[in-house]
Amino acid sequence: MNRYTKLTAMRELSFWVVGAIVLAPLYVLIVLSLKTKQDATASPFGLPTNPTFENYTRAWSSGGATGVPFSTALFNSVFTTVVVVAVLIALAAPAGYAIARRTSRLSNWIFALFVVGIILPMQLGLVPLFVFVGRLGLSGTRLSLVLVYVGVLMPLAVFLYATFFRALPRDYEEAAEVDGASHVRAFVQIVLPLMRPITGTVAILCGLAVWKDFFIPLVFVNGTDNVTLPVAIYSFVGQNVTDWNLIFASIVIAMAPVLIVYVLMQRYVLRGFVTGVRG
Amino acid sequence: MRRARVPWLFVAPALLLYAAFYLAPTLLGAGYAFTDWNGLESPSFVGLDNFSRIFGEAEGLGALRHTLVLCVLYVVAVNVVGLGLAVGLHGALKTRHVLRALFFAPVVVSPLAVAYVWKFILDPEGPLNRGLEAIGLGTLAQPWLGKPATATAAVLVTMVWQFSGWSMVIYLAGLQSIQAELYEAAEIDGAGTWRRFVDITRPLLLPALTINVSLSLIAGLMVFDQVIALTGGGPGTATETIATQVYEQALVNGRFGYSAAMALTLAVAVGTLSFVQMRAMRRQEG
Amino acid sequence: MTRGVRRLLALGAAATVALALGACGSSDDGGSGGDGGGTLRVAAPVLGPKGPDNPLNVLARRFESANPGTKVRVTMTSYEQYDPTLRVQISGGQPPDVIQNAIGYGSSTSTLPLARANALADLSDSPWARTLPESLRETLGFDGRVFTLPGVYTIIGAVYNRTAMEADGVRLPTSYDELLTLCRDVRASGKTLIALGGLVDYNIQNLIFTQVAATMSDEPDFAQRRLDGEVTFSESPGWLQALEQLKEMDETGCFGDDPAAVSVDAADQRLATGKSYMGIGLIDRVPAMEALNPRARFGLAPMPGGSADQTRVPGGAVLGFSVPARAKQVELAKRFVDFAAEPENAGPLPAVTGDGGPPQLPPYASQVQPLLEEERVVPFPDSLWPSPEVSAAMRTGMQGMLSGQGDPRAILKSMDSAWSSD
Repeated sequence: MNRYTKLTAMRELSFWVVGAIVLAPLYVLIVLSLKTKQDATASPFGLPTNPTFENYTRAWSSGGATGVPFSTALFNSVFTTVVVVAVLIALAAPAGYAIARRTSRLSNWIFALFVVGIILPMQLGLVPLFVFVGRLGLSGTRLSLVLVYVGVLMPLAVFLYATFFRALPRDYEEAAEVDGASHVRAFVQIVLPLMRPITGTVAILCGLAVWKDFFIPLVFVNGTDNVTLPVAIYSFVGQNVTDWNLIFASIVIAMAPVLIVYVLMQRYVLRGFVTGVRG
Repeated sequence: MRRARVPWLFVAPALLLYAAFYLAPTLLGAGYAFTDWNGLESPSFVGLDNFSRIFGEAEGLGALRHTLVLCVLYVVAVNVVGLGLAVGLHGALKTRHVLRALFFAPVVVSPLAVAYVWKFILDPEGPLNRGLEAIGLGTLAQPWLGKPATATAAVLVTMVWQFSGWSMVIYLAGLQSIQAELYEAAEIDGAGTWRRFVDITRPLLLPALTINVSLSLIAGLMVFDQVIALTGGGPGTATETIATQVYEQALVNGRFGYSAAMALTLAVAVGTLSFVQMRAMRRQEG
Repeated sequence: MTRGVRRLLALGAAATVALALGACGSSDDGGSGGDGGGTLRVAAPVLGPKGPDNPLNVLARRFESANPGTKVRVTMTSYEQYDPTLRVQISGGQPPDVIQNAIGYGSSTSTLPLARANALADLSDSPWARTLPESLRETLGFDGRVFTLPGVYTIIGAVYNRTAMEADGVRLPTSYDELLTLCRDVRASGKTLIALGGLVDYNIQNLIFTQVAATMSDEPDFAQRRLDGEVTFSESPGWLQALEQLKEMDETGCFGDDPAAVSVDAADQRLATGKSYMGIGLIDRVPAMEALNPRARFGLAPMPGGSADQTRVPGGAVLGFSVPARAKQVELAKRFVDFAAEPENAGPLPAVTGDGGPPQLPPYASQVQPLLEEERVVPFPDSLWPSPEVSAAMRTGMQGMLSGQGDPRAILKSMDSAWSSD
């Protein structure tokens, strides 16, 4: 299985060819972000003759049409994503754990209740949710954004945790309980360390969803200082000819942190799926 | 031994936030499916009118049909590609880690960029057609986004491009759960590559397949971003899906009642299909 | 890129010419402006130049200095998202204090649908409401009441690459037949006369509006009579002629092989680089094209009718300021609208209100100016269409026709049935 033969080398090469095709659209994205508008109009796909970082500096300093500095939008995105992911992990892990460990009919119903949330389109509840947030006096706040995302993504997170814990043998916990540990202690001491892989998966999936989304912040926080990166990026879309170079530069800025996090967490994501998949 | 119960308190905060900030508003919104609400005036009850419209009018039926076609093709394509990548990158390749990251990269790109870039590539005078001409396949050049069949194909390709990375990652995880000793034992028994795949890899990959098919089924049925950004539902209404209709009918046309009925139809379809599929796969897994 | 949104883009594009709205917001928090003189929240689609020079921003700052203690927070949303988000905010009972919306019917946030649902504050007592031109009143309210201060004026025409046309010896057509001949000649030379980004169907809407402007000269009251239910699109010779002409133009190759597959950006690029000579667009597309290719000059010309004297251009007021009925600061918002109506606060063009003559267009649109003087400007047809679905049916049908599905009669029929569906 593990010999490196000529055949393997061929395979390696062919994957690089496929990889190049897959990367072609991203090449366009990056090349355009390094060109001036006129260069891009003249030849959109060639390598830039005078690569310029002007788009990056302009995107960074202007912040689009939201009137909010790009750095603020970046901070808002990081803040919202981190808080949402943290809250999801803190609440969905014990919930998924309890659902997996209790095998009653009620537990199945609660699980089904969460699954319903995955298959209901978000648009359905948009107006009632908007009214509700307003009634709470939270219109336009960062808190409203966090709460909405937590609500929307909770079913996915609970689903992933519950599936994971169902596949996880209960031997260790039972041993701890025999020793007289409480549920909370058993959870914190035994289960928490075991769930790192699935947590990586939840963090990546939910974090990406928050990071890339622009419709929810557009509805809930547009017109305030709390807008996130996608809103700032979309505001570069002009009424007429759009400054795509600026948009692409800002998209590259927005992509960078995600790719870094992914590369750092790649191991965990894989492991999470390994364990999840075994169930 | 009497199994000690995990307290429900563990579920309470998650359930509470989910119920308040998602489930309750969504169910409230679902109630509008039986009204003629336009988002402005107070709604009046119209029974099942909205549903009979969906199943009785060309635009509703068209959206249902496009969604199903797109979904089936997507589930097949993304799984074939994802599995192919995973099998290829699970093994001896020296650069497999780089390649994996590379195939995953499209997942993190924003839909706006994806749509813009693809629109340029697929332009009648764009690089794809130019490339085909250059290698003597000029007859294959198409106005890709300008014809119903090729526009559907373009949406499909874009989706597969963006999400096969996910599919690959899940299959890789499945493959890595297979112990190397199993293969070695089989090899000693004289089993060929194909036999090994059928007898060892296939059954052990089933859980990964289950997850992948469920996820792609849901993604396929709820396809929205790629359509809105790439074709806007066109040409004509050729790529209009249920999810794009849910959005447009409510927020563009102000037909909140009709939109809610569409959304409910979609949810029932997703629910039913996922359930059936889960059942079938569980049986396979034995 | 949704339908209504495309329309908004079309409307939006108007702005640089007129009041030029849109802006960067100030930096204070607009989300909590509940009490006192406080903060006035103004929402508008992305229009005109960005930054403090944007006329809406200028207006906001002026209003602040005229009303010490008041803050105006202008929020500009990309046209694609403005309509849907505004609709959620209005339906959710928390609208901005001042909105910029389309007059007439047409989109889900236009004046008439909102006003009829009591979602807009009555502005009839405002001083400017008395001097509105009669021709506009129908689109600004009903029963003699007024809900919107009309502001943005625009024209749809053929944006042409003057430099490329001069270089290749191509002249602007003055009649429909000349146009067809030119299409064939240009095609034979390996280029395409009109760059049409038909993938995004608001472009198609502009195209139809320019065509129908000329063919409806025998049916001047059609829009009102359609609204009164006396006629249908299917029965209108002018509408049929317009669509058949477009079909003929498509078959002649005026738009290239596959206009329905071309994105707006690709079409713009073709026009900018002279691969095509003309595009259909709103007046402010001209400076935008010059920004894309600073080495070329561009102009705006009318699309020719059957003969030169049948030529008409679609134009008029498209956007205006309204105050949502449930705004937190209705009184302050009304003051802002009144302030915007004062002549010295109007934008670079004469306001549509008042008794002034036709607007003075920029030099690059000099070919269109005479049509304004001769009152050969026709209103946008959809300002009297009762629901956004009618124009959606028109655009979708036309896009279908450009991609080989359907025909003119079928499009008109679908427009009639969209009319009566609600």
